[in-house]
Amino acid sequence: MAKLLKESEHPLYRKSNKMRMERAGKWITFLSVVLTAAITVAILLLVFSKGLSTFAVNNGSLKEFLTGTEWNPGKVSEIGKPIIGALPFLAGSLAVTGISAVICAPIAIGAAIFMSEISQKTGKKIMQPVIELLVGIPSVVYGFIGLSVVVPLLREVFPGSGFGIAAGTIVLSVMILPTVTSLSLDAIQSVPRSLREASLALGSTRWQMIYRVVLKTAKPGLMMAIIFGMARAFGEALAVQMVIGNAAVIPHSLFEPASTLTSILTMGMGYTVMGQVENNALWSLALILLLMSLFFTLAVRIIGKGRTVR
Amino acid sequence: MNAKRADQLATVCLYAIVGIIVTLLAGLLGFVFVKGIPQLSWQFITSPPQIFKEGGGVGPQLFNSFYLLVLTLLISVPVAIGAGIYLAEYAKDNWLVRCIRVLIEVLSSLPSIVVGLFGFLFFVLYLGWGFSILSGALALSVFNLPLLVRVVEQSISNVPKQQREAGWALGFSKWETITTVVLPAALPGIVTGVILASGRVFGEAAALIYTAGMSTPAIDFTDWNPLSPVSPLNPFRPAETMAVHIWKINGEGIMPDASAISDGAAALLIISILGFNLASRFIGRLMFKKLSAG
Amino acid sequence: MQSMVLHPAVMKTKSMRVSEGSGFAASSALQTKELSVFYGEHQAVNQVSISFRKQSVTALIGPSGCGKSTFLRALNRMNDDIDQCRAEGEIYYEGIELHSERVNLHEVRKQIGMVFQRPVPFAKSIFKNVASGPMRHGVKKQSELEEIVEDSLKKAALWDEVKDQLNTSALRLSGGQQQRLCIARALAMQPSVLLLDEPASALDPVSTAKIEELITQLKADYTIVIVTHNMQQAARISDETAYFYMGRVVEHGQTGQIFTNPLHEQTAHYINGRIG
Repeated sequence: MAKLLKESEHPLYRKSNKMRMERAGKWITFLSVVLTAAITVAILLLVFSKGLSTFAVNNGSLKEFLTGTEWNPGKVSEIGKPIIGALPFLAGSLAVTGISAVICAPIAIGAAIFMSEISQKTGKKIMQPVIELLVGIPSVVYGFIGLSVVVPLLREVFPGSGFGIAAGTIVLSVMILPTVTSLSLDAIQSVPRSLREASLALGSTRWQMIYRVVLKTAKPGLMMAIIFGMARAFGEALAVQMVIGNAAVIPHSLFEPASTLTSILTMGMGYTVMGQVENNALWSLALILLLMSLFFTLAVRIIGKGRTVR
Repeated sequence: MNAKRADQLATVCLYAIVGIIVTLLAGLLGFVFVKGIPQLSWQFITSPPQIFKEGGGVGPQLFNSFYLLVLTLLISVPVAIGAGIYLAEYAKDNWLVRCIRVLIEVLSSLPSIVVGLFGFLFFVLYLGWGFSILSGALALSVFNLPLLVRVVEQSISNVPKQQREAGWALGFSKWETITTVVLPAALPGIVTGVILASGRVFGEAAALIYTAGMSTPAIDFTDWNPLSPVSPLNPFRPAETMAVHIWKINGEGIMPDASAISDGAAALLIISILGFNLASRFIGRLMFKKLSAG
Repeated sequence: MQSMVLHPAVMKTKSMRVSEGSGFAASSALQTKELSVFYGEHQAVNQVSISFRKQSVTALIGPSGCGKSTFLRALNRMNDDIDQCRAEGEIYYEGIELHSERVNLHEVRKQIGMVFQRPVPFAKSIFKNVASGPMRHGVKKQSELEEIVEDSLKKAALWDEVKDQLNTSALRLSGGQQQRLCIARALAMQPSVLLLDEPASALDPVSTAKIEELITQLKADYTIVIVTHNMQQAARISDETAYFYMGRVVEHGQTGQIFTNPLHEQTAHYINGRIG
């Protein structure tokens, strides 16, 4: 076969299909990345266009949407605008998210401190698997347990049906606890050993060292952990919907039925017709949900940047 | 209060927190298993649900959960491997790549209900696939993709640079080096991550209620022709999963034994997810061992 | 397509004839002309012109950061894959300038093999480690692959140690065995030049001795360029030595002459500093 080759055909000049495969591979993988990004863009565009049409097409009032307390998108008010007061849902979402973050943060950070500073052995042997198992429990199961344990318990102790913000908060705090714990642990563990030793060498007790050095240095990371948890709580739909009672009003206490953006979305989407005001109004709620999730992502990025610069 | 007392008090508090968390997990699992495991029987796992009377099972739901998971992995794993390879091996640090990274991060932080609504609008209504396994699997893929991309990118980046150079030095193209040297070395990490992500997909419900639907038509488990309307494999039939079933019967279940059924279903769900957890550890370790000692 | 099925050995006899026709010094396998390498703004190699004799061992010595490793990696264009890194000047292999657009980069690396400082076996079986090169370059037949693997492992003096465990993972071998496996892997490509980047620096003395013995055996068939920090090693195994300093070749000549009677004072300082 060698005879068939021309004199100038040195092996170095040989054309192989390697370059072709290289280009093909690079393109295919690039397209996979683009596809993933394009899906995100598609979701953003769809939710934005759907969510804004309440205001653009159905002539809804943004002020009414954000501050009104009556939700009845099928009807129009005296001035001819759909009744889309979403404040009860917004307030509900913010309340469950905020309170569960307040409950969850000290426990999660405490657990992270324990795992990193007090007993690394117990931390690794017991807490790590416990946290991993808790992460794995699906949110409907959290909701189901909330429904069969938390709600009856609250009904016994407090006046009312047991459904409400309190029940939602308890379920969500437990649900986001493992996520916030493991992210807090990452933040605390990234504090350099030398800082700890320096503090102890100066005669601090262990708690003083943790409080003044570790927590202070890890603060941005801990904030990121908490915001991550809040983002999850804000976006959680089914677990909250199962225990919050789903009443479209601003409750007078934590133990009265209320609603969140996600719960009303879950309940309502199936009972409305695409393109009508009732449906568009729901998409506006979805848009709020999306904007909040973007806000949380942005907040994490900004804090994260501050951390890496330092 | 002096510093020493504060230190002791803080330590006691931290131990208490650990106690609370461990009790919490024990309580959760205990509750689900104590109430749920007595419900589990072969009949419960295999027979279809009853709407008005007792004695229904979760057979179709269990099948749907696994079928949807398999389809989701078939769709999302190849895309995630491609995207992960690009980000780890080819991507330069320019504005386009930064932009794409931000978008993937945004996707991973979207609430699953938003992903579900997107699936509802796009797959169910716009493409006209209705509440179907296909719509559900695609919605779950969207939900699963960003996490998998991160898993793949990280596993690939963990392969030492020298392995790549060794491949290049043999005259392999970059692509050949990735597929024959880097990817096999990254495989244990990828497989572990995929199985862990499977647990998350398996328990997901919010992305499914408006895509795969909340009902299961009568299906005939002897008919395995995917084109037949009563076949369990038919991708265009609605398919309620275990997780969705638990949610649904707790909201609107009218069978008399609704709570017993959700106890059983919850136990089954948790057992499956524990299975995924254990499998990911076991298989990851096994593969690593095989690579390094086999 | 025809070229795809050719056995590399056939290709080599072919290529020899080409080089004779090109009027290129037949005794030199590889030659650089004013080769410079830049990392961004920093110039790591500065206009190096040097020629490597066929079937001989040339040692590149010099202090850390003198550019000898970068220069070595430029010879099979390994630096092409590093961002910010670019080469200027010419490299001639059998009369062909390697930077020429018509030259197939992957063929270059096939003809000019490379072994690194730390052993980098792939996480595969011993057999697959050696066979993967030829497989990727078009050798499909199992019998042929087996022949190449046995032949390469024998040349790398590893065959007797591993012939009964070809299907076990290469990661189970000792460091020294792994490095010889990497040499076998490079030999399986049927190269004519071998570039060794401090191949024994991560190994124990016994393994180092084995590698050195191997190098002296291999020079009968291959042109070898070795970067080393170890002066005794350079003196023991090389025929020629080039002393690098600040990206330039200060002195290049017979190893005996460089070590006993260097022309440049600087070379003497370096060698004595290390030996003394």
